[in-house]
Amino acid sequence: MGIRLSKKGQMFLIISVIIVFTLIILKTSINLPDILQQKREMEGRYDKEMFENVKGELVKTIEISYHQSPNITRNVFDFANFTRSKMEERLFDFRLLYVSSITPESGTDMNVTLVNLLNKPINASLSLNGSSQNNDNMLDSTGWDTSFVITPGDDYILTVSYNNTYESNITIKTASGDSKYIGFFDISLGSLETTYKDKFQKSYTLP
Amino acid sequence: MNKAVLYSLESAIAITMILFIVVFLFQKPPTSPEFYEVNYKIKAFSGLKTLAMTGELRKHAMDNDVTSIENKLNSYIPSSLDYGVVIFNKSTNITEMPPITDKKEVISVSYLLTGDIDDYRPRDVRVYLWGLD
Repeated sequence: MGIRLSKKGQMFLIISVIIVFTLIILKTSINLPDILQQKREMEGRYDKEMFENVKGELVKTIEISYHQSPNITRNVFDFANFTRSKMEERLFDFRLLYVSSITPESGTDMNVTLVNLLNKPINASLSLNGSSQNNDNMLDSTGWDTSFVITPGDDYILTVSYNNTYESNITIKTASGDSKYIGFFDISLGSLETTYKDKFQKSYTLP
Repeated sequence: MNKAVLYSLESAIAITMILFIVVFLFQKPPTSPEFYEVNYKIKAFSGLKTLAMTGELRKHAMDNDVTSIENKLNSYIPSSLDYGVVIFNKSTNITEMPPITDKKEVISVSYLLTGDIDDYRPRDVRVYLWGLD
């Protein structure tokens, strides 16, 4: 009886050590997925911020080049290349399909440029008002300049497509007596964890 | 010592151990070093973004004024970290690299800028952070 009583206390200590180890193991295994999930969410948040930065500055490129309309598309192309190079340093994959159009104040020629920064060659096509133009095997990091005949004051839908797998419509509103610039962006920024994409157009009346 | 007292002491030690471990484990969630790094990156980037929204970042970057950018980032970056700002163009840094003392643990964030009105000059405003230990 005396021996059993003294061993009871020691049994408590042994059991408490076992409980402590069990709690540590349980806590670690329960928290690890939470930590990983939180880390993924934070990295996703950071990636999104970078995406918004890139998107904002691409649009800003049009706005700062506004007074030099022949340079607008060239600057956007150049900044997109700059962005791609900087994003590659951080292991991000930046891709852009950009279409610009300039309608004149007077006259019927609308200049259109398509920029391919999709990291692959494409068979590109532009269509407006039943008229189509094609550029087969348009290489990555190149631009294609072309033009369409329009009637100032009319509205149009310019369709851009490539490789029979992609098609987007761009709304072109023209105004007689005003020169208008339209920029259409289809952007993506991808990391190992996430990819952010957006497609939109911006319109400006040129001075 | 009488056995009852010894028995009580052993029980008390066992209970104290368990309580201590429970409090220690559940007071706050453990985190990993990579978690802190992402957190610091977000803080630094938020600072750059705020300066960009006010136009200050663009102005200082076009002027190659890293000192003003560093001063204005001070309230966004934890005081336990060292940091420095460098401005890059397409190919190289156009301001000096900061004196990074701990080359093993350095992180950086970039904010890209296209330029200013009638002045297209693409820039990468980069903040280096070190002393993460």
